[in-house]
Amino acid sequence: MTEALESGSARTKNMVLRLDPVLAERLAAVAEVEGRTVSDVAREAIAALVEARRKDQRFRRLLEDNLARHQRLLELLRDDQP
Amino acid sequence: MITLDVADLAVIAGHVLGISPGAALDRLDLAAAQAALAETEVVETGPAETGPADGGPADGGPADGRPADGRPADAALAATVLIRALLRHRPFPDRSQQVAVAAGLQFLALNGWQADLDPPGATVMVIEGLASGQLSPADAAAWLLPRLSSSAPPAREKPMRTRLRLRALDPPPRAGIHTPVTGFLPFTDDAHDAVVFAREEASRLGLDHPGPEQFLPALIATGDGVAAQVLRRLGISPEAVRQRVAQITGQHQPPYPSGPGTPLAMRVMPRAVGEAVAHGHDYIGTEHILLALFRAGDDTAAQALASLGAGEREVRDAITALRGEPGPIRHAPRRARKPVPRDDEIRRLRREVARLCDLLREHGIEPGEGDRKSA
Repeated sequence: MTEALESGSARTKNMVLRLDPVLAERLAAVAEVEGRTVSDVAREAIAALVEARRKDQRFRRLLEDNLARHQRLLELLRDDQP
Repeated sequence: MITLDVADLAVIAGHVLGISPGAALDRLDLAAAQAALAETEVVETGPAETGPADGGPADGGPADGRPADGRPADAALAATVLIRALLRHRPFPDRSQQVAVAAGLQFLALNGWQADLDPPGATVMVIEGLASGQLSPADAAAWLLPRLSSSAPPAREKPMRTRLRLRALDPPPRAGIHTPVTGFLPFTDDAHDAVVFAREEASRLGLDHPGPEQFLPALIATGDGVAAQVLRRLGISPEAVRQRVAQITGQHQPPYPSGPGTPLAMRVMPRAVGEAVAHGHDYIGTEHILLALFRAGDDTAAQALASLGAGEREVRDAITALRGEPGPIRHAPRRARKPVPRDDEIRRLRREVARLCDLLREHGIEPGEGDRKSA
């Protein structure tokens, strides 16, 4: 299933989700039950995951340690071209 | 092996780019991220082994004896596959090499491995080789492997992590327990899995709530959890537990009272909270649920374990030995205390006991006679 997330305002962006059939079915079911669009449900789910991970203290500590330890390496990689 | 998901990538990119995770999400090419992560899942489907590898300087687990997740060779290959996939698909167009390397390092760290990438110039050449296709992930993994060492993760279960592919569309999972006294205590991954297993088993049996006889097999089914490790150390196999629970519950019809608000069922989790608090932990692990089963007001699990040679004392001692930390306050050996405690210590202990009693009452549990005596 391919689903385009519509952009309703300047705060949103278009994304294309390629979902496996089972996941797409669940997404559609949740959206139907809750009376919302598939886009809204997907956007909220992703945002909730990001927020949960942002609050994961162990994840954050490991990340900060890694970035600090390898700062010189990351600086050398900084100039890669898009 | 802990894998990264889209949310992880957003947080990592946010740090690297110096922007918020939300802003990073806005810049994310979701299709590219999914394509990159899908490439890493091919590696994840290989056999998951735990413990030292067959050789090489990166062998061995952390200093506390707990092995890192997977063999170092597997971790090195998975990391280089991830980096190569992120370099190819570029889910974050800006500074994609930095994001890819940071993601690879974070993947290793989450799985208990640390990479020594000095001198950085050599690493840059490897990354560029991966990006251009001149180096394969296997080549890069061979270079990375001798630079890996165990990073000795803390002796606790993995924190609760969700995977976008399977859970993103569910309502937010109940990933912990909140009480007015303790605040929110998150489940570890293994504890969450055990709760889910127990609920599914209870549902299969037509029960509204899982009871000790559902929790115990569920705990031992989470093979990496502290509870499962402890029971294994005590020589108790999952099959033996299942058989013994079936024997015991078969003697009581029905084995467990069903219906909303079953008092017995509702006691397991509050007791688990109590165990976590008593140990000074800010999360609920499988070991807390296991200990709660001994005090949940139903002796099915306790009977099953005792008949297999694991009474409450043995289980507590095994948990303490596994974790290498002091036991809970209320179970501290009396001989270890000072003969005449200081006044401030007595006041502290009284406050602690009062707090624990309040916690139990909060959940409708009146502390037992033994508790009052000790208080």
